[in-house]
Amino acid sequence: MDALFSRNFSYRAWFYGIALIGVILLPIYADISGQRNLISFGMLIMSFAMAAASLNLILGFGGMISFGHGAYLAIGGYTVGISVANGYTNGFGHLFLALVLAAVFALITGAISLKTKGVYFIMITLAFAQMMFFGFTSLEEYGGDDGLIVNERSDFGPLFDIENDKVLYYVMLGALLLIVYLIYKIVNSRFGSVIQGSKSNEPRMQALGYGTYQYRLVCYVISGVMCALAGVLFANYANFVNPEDTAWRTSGELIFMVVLGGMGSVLGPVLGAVTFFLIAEYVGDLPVVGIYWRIYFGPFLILVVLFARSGIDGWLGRYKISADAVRHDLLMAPGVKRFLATAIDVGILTALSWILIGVVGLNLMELPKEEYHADLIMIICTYFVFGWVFVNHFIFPSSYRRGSVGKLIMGLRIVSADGRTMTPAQAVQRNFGQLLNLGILLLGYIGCLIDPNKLALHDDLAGTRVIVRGSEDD
Amino acid sequence: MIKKLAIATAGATMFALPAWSQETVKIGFITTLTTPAAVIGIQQKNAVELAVEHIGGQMAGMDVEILFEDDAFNPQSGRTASEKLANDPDVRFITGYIWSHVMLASANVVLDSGKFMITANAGASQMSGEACNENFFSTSWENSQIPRAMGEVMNQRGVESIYIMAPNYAAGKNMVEGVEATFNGEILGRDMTRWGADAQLDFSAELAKARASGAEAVFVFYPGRAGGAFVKQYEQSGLAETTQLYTVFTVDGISLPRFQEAGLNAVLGSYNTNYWSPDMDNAANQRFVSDYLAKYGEYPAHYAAQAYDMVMLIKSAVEAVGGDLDDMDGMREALRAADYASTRGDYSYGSNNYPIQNFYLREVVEDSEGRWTNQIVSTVYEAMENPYIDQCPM
Amino acid sequence: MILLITQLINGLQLGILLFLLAAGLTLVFGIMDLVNLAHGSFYMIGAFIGATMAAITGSFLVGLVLALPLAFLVGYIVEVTTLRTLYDRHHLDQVLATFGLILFFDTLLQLIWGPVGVAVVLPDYLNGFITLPGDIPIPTIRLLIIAIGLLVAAFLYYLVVRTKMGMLIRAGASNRTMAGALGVDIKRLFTLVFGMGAALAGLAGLMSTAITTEATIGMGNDIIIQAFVVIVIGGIGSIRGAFVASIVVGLVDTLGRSYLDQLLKLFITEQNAETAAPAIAAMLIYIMMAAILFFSPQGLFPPKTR
Repeated sequence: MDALFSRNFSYRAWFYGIALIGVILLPIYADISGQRNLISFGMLIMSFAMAAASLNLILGFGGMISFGHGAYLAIGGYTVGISVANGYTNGFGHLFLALVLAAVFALITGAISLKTKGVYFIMITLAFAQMMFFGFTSLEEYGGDDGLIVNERSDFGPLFDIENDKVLYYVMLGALLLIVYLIYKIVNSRFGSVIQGSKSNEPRMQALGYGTYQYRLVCYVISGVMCALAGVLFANYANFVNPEDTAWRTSGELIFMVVLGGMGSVLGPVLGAVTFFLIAEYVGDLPVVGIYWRIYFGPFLILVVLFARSGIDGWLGRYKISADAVRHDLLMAPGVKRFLATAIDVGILTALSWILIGVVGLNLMELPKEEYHADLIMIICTYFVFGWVFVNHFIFPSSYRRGSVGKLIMGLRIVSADGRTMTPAQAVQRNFGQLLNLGILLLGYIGCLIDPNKLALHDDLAGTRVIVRGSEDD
Repeated sequence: MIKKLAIATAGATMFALPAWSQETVKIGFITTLTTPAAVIGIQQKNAVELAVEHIGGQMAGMDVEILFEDDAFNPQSGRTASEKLANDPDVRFITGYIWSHVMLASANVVLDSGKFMITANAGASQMSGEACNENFFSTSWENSQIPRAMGEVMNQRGVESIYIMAPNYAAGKNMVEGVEATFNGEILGRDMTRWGADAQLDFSAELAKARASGAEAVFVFYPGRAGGAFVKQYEQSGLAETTQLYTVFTVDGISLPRFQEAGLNAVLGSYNTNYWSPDMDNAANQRFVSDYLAKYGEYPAHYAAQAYDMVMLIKSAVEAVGGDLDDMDGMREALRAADYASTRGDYSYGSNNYPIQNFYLREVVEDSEGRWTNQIVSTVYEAMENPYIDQCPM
Repeated sequence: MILLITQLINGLQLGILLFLLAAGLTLVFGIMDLVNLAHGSFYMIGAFIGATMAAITGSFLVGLVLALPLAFLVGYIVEVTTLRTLYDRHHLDQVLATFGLILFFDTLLQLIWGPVGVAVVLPDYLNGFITLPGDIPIPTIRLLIIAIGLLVAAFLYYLVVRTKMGMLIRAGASNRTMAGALGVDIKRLFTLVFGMGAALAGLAGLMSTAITTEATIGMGNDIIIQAFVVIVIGGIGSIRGAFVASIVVGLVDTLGRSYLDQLLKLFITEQNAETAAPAIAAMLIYIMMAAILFFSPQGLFPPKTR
């Protein structure tokens, strides 16, 4: 065996496979552990995952940056809400109505919007969403600004009794898989190649005789209809619809989910939605600094845009280095030294966070000051910690230093498999791999012990090698 | 005390120390801690912390833990936060709620979980009428009560015509309905302005219309920052010289320090109605107001008083059942009795679990230290029944 | 009639305020091809800094004068540290990254100043109103905003049309590579223009607080979308377009709020008119934008080359 993980081994397939099993088993785990919240949380994420996936069809594959996709979520939701308020509870009827309404809305707005390009397209889609926003807020008999409480869930017959949260959970999961599958089919069809072609080179597609405008319009409508489906299910999950869904912040968040997960990847937006909500939920729950989670999220967004454009889905694939360029003369670092190097890094981080957050931050907070200034100090302390992580694990390794402080002390270097300094993208992917490794209880480190190249999971993903200093010099 | 607890929890989570495991009374408190509307949420949080301090952090010998959650002034976030609390088996009371829309969005998740829901501000009329629930209580009022009182005040003062302005959302509409229900004179115009995340703060067009209408008085409801914006423009437009200003929920302990800072003299001497006032002469209120002033350096507004009362009300219920938190019926009975020292003095609950209480006319005055505050002028309604009580099936 | 004139002046004032914000936005967009959602943050930052300076010095006008260079400085720092890396990026990246900046600044300002905001105290001579001929009372501060806005517009016109820097800006707007090839220090020009845009936004922010009493967190997010509507209607990169579109948007918005309910009452019942009017009034500028883009996909004054 040349390497523990053969070249054909696909982390992506394994990752999604395990994740799917996890998602299927989640309600059972929630029952056993008594954490009912997990089911709701799962449904919330799946609603937005569907919406983000549908947005990705036009955004990632079609290059149409819609800043008004939230409108379709609201169309789906309000169809259910208004129908139920009028005593009409047939779920199939809701679905039919919502999808038709979304298609009509998408057809009209798309026909107008697609005449424009670039930022004008962004703005005009936003304008339509804003109109919907003010439209829904004026529906006084249906709650207006307050949103509309949906007292009953859609009735899909006894087979799919979605009044039961668990049934709804699996219905949503099914719908999500269906949407992903449809997008996959569309993208890989002739239709899909015209859409993708008109993104990169529209004149060429036109020269080939394709009416790109019509193709894009159809794609825009399909995407809107899919998002309305998400809206129908979302309203059923939340028992509540709200004009805020059409506001530009929701649409902006959807775009972020797509980019974070990986544009132009069918499953990427799903991962993006999961990550977005995990960040919002868990960072938002941190004591003291939690309610200021946006101050971390903002810079994180910028970093993702600057350094991590391939998105999470992209990081799950191996970083491509051509086989010829891979150097076989690199002297791999011994496991003990690697362990010590990691221990040094972890030690520094622990000491730093203990001093800054534990001692400085918490003591300063005890001072009788205006509360927010104490919070500011706390935030600054955490910023130092995060800043250190960023410098030590991203800037240093991808610069001429070629390693974190721990590695430098132990006389080790991290380089790309071709002997060069890591690119920023590799550094991102390596760090992501380490997170993944934490998630699977450090199983990925087994490679360090038994693989001939001593490749841990994150090294293999990012195409990096941990070597003894100097062995990469020619 | 609570802050120390919060820090202790902070330490505990960060360094994975074991948390205490003794039984506690857990109370969820949903309020607005971010966005500019956080000024109200922070007053409520302060008041709750003061109340916990006043009761020594204990109810029936058990520690009290308040779980503050932020609704970000957004129904969706508020609902998510409510759902989280509703799914926590240790939380017995879910309280707070400044905004009607957040409360309405959260009501079914909380009430379906079988926990007590106590609003410490939001007064959406539905909850006191058709949507009333045996586990739903209020320490505040129903939206339209306060403008109803104001309509009555204007009748008494012989106002013949008014111009109405309010934001275009549930509470805004309730306010307008309220004043229209009792005011006997002529309503010369009505403007509902844009509200929400993108609220309208420039009222030039509306003020010009009000002036052109020739109304004798202007009635407004503008909570939060819109209140300051309105009063300033009202003054700048010169309308203050020809018309009288009557407000509800616009001029209170939260906005007054800022009005004073901004030099908006038009509010001095202006009238508003409320169920409570910082100068009310009862022991509970004196203690609350003076300690609040000492601790936080400003007068509490009614938002704070309601939040403070909420803690005391829960304490009375928990102690009535001897700390047996599973005795829902017993606690419900005790809540309904309202047997505690409220900052508003004694009051009782109607069959819809809304207070039956007095409403007062208040005037903005300068206190002995030069701070602007509200002071009671007269009683408008005594033991006012909730106007929607007949629609409540209970 | 008096009411109509009052409303026209109100609309003009709203338009002027929008113009101050849109001018910087359209220049940055036109020249550097940068979609800067965070432009609204400068509006907010200018208001906070200006209001604080006014409180410290005790004079609103000093605050106004100090807000300009300080907002310029903040814009300068943000450009050099973050936005510079975004010029060659796709619009999508720019939207997201500047959205990130908004989240950052909103929270940072809350941490520094607290959620309450900072009140602006106007001197008495600005707090009243002036009676125009025909017995039309107009708040003094609104007249001041109109005056300052017109001055800025004149200054920008002079700057762009008459000065060397303006020539460079125009050259940069029409062809960036060419301007660079001609030896123009594009980087410095960009930073300068960006800082100027931030300063104007800050000025607009502070002046808006003179109407709304206080600088508040997130105040820029409310108005940035309207500013985008303005520059899109006007045609990206065109100062003239931004000016015309600002005034049009200001007038349409104000007149819509004033007269729409009466207009609707001609067609539908009074009850329905009163419900629908606020919603449609709020939609008006978006409807207008969609209509204009439908007939002229690059706005009223489309850039000539690109």
